[in-house]
Amino acid sequence: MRKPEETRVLVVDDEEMLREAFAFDLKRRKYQVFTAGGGEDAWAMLQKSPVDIVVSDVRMPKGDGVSLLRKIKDLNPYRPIVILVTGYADISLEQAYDLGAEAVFPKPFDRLQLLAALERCTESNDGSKKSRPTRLPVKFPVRIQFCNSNLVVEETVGNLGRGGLFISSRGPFPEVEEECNFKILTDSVDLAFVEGRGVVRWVRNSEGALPTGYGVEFLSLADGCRTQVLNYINFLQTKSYIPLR
Amino acid sequence: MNDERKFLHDLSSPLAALQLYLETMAEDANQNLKEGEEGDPRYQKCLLLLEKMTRLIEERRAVVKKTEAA
Repeated sequence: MRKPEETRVLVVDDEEMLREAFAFDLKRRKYQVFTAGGGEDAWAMLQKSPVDIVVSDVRMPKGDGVSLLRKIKDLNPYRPIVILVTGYADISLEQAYDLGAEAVFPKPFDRLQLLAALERCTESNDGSKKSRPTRLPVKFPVRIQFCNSNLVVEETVGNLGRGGLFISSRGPFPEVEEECNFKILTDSVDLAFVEGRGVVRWVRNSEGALPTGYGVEFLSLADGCRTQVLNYINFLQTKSYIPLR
Repeated sequence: MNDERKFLHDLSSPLAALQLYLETMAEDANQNLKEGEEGDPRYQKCLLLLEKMTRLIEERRAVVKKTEAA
């Protein structure tokens, strides 16, 4: 678990007093805090200096929070974690989670709930590229097209997780770091299909105690898939951040 | 964004800032209390007033959304 003093938080809001008030509260809790007045400034700052968590307003005149979220997640779906705080914006919770937001709060927000959400983010964001331990053994057919070799294979997904999947295979095996496009067809009513782009992180090509195959980390998922995957593997932690009102 | 939506949106940010400052001030004041001492009741009253204002905004938001949906 990362300590607050090791956690960099970027607060983005066009309302200066709210930015300052929130930064003040986080600093006294020992977080390293940076601020920006809009999505454009925030993006410029992130190019120079990465952070662990972004807490952003949605409607801002100089770059809105949704565009910022899209840019952040296109670059890296895992880091930084993005929490949205909305005054009265035209974004549903479903849309926000589909885009990769970790949590969404209305304004005025429950301060203790938001602080708890940040603490939870430090538990999950330790900088490791490993997917979280939450995963589900499955047996779904998957079609994979590898980007370097253009090879197309039909395999079976052996494990589906929040951050990626294990492909059960007897070969041919891809190279580590090779990117691929995949489409999983499931027989579950709760998870119709999962489509996206991934990168091979490891390969096991000799039989031993564990089956042969390779691990693919998600780089991006098609619209709607992220929510489906998260719900399917019973990843409900973000729901504790959703205010009841 | 129509006028009423904009008004509700613009009101929510300073209100959120006010709430943040008040809650942190109340926290700090309570930390210095000796055993048996009660905190300054004005903090609690201010926070209750903020809660009331927040509820009014939320109720108005719900009405506006309902009107727009109709």
